Amino acid sequence: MIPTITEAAGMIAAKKLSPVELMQACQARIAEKNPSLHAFILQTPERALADAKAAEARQMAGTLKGPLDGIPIGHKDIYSTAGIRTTAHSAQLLDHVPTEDAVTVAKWREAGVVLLGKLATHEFAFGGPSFDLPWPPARNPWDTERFTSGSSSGTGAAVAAGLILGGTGSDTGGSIRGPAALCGIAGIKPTYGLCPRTGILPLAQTLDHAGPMAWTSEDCAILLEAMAGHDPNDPGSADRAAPRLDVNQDLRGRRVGLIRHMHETDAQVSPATLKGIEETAEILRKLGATVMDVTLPSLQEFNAAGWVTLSAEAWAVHEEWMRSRPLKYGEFLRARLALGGLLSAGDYIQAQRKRRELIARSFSATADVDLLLTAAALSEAPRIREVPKWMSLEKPNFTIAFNLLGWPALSICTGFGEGGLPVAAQIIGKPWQDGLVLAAGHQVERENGARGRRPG
Amino acid sequence: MAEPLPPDHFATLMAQAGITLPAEEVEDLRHAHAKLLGMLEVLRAPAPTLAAEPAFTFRVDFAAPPAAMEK
Repeated sequence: MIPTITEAAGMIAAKKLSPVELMQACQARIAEKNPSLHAFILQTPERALADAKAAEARQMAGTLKGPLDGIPIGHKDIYSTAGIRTTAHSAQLLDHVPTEDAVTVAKWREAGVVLLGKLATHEFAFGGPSFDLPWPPARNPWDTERFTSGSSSGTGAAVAAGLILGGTGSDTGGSIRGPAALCGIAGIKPTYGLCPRTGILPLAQTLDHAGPMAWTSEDCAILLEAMAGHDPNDPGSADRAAPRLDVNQDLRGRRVGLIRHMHETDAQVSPATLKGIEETAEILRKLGATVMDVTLPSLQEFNAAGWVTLSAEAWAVHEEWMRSRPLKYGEFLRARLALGGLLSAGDYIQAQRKRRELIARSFSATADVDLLLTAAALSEAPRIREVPKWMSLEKPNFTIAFNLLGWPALSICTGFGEGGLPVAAQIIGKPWQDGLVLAAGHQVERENGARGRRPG
Repeated sequence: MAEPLPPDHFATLMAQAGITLPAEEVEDLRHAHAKLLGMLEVLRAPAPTLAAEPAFTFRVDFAAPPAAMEK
């Protein structure tokens, strides 16, 4: 049995589960499954043992730090880890060993987590799935011929397969919610400014969000509480106290806007995905919420502003290496970055004007609702070898809209399609309503039965 | 859907950006660029209102210590 973080924390607190034994169980699963999943690109067994022994000593002394003490985790390989190689899954940074932890990594370390290693990512959180990098792409544990989505591909695969109980992701256009959806787990892109980004390799700073991924929304809440907080060195960080995220708060009387046009008209999701969204709406009704249709700007508008902004900002991050050593990037990433280099100043400014307009229209359209509901992904996971290089330009995604807005957005598993692969829904809230979003996710997960099934 | 730029025009754009890629990748990029041009049309039509101007990116007091503002 693979426990959730909530279950493991309870057993550790009651001295019924040893952090060392929990870590060893995860390592056994890594030994068995990672050769086919490629979720870890670096394991840190000595660090894991030291972390687990320290947690166990606190357990015995009755001085546990909280619910993350002794919990096995992994970090996406764009999170800096002091003394541990951090490569962004790229030949560009093959020998890069940071001297300091990212702020979020340090926060989890202080909370007592057990670090099992570094997790696969699309190259620099943008280029994948790629087969010409120093490590192969992560594979979906529900079917290893299938795509995990990205870019937090290793975290999605590792959590779903029970190699870790939780991990870090980053989300610039959907990189937490996409892998959460296709791997059948929970992942939240928090409100912009909630989680510090210092020490995380950037992709596009006005869209980049750090956040957690875990088997359940309840576990995401525990992980998010431990990584949130003001960071004076991150200009995007909000100067406000880290929130208490109550996943058991009452949903009666809450108003949920179903953004039907996004998943039925702007893009058409698979039948199983649509069924999961409708069932999620019905569960929310049974929990006492009112569900009504709302109309936001179209996915096409959000995607145009989002991808132009992302591409231009990513070019600004990478332009020096794109000019001096482009062939050290994988083909997918250098092509996507090059596209950003072809944009003009006028293009970027028009995207920012459109972004301002989309934000104003979205607030206006949702004035009467507390939460929003739509798809997190089009369908079940496609075959990894059939994922087009320019997918983001060909089909609008459901996630980048909420990077543009900066609103909290959660992907939860709603069930399984005909092929046995997971499908998902996306629950969105207003800024700083991360706790309400996670509460909705948690209470839907308790009712929909999808958390009772793991990949074989 | 916008048409891809002519190869010589696209080569000029690449040169202006300082990007040098293998020839087969340039041709693929030229066609992908046409899809991006379609997105750029969405941004410009209809034209955004003045209220959407991102002037918030500049503030006269940005990062200035309060004491400096009082002098």
